[in-house]
Amino acid sequence: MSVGYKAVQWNRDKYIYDAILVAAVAIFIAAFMVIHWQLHPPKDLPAAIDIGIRAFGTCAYLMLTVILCIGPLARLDKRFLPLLYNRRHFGVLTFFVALIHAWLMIEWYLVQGNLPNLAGELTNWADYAKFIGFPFKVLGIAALTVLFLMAATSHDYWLNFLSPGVWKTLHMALYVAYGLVVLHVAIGIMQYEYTLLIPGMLIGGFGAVVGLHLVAGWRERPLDAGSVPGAEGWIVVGPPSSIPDKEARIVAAPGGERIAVFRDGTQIGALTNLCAHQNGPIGEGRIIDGCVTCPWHGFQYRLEDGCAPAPFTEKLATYRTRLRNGVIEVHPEPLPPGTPAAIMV
Amino acid sequence: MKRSLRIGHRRIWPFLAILVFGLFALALIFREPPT
Repeated sequence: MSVGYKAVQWNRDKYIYDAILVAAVAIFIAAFMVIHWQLHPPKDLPAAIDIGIRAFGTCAYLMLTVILCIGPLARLDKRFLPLLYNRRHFGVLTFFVALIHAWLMIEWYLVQGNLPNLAGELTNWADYAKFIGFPFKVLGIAALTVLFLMAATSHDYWLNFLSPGVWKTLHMALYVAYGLVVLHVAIGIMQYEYTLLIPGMLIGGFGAVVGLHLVAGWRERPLDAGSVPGAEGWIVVGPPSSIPDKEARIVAAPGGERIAVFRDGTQIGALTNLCAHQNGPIGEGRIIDGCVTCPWHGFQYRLEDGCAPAPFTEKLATYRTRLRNGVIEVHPEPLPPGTPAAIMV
Repeated sequence: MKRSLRIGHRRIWPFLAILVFGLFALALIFREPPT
């Protein structure tokens, strides 16, 4: 794929997904504001704006939490993959919800004619030495900056321009943003509102993110440890029937690098487990229309040589495979991307 | 041969998680009681 501009690939599923997403956000914010309004009717305009600040802020935090849970959930159960496939729009929408939260905060100062107070809060350097009393809005601004960078570079143009490795590293900054948001709430609103709801929300959300990542990581521990190759350096995969048809078994090279061994009927081939698009886990995908298909965004490759079908030009590293005593073995030394290496059994 | 991000970054995340949780716990413990 070239660095040239490529239009977003819209399809019916994405429209439906986006419509559900926007509707869910609208319903959440409307319900939050109505309930808050009923329980604590605002006395003046700033108090009314404050309800909006809380509604959008809570929504953005929960959206971030869900986004960070999608990755490990998809690793634990393939049924969550459609969520991962559409995660990008979720992330961009989260940025806009957080942006409205920040904009309402500025509006809160503006309607009272005391915007300079905001500048004063942010430049009261003595507060930066405190823990409770730290200018928590700075943490929110930092997180919003990360979200902006991610939303601005979310298009595949930037993915190709920056390269998948750099792009993915940049987008891992979402974890840092999440940490900043947790602390933004913990030393912000949690200090002023003596309710169990806020610490409960933080512990629940943060616990879910950490817990799911730990469980997903724990399940993959044997793979990460790497396999011990046999005498000639080959790794045992198993009999051909142990690989589900049109699917893969993932084995690990001694260093822990993963190899996806696919079976398409009587053809068996091994590819790197890293998709050329975003380093997605190729081996968790399936063979669709005769091509190995990445579960993340549907990038496709031929099993025989790891090349994407024309007109695409991506190539994956392949691995030598052999059938020995009825058992499939793979050699952990990668071949140059696009090298034919599949065998018939 | 490039390595997957999941492997390369693994050691950073537990420290980040513990740091955030620790600071959150402190913020919870030291918050002023309601007046």
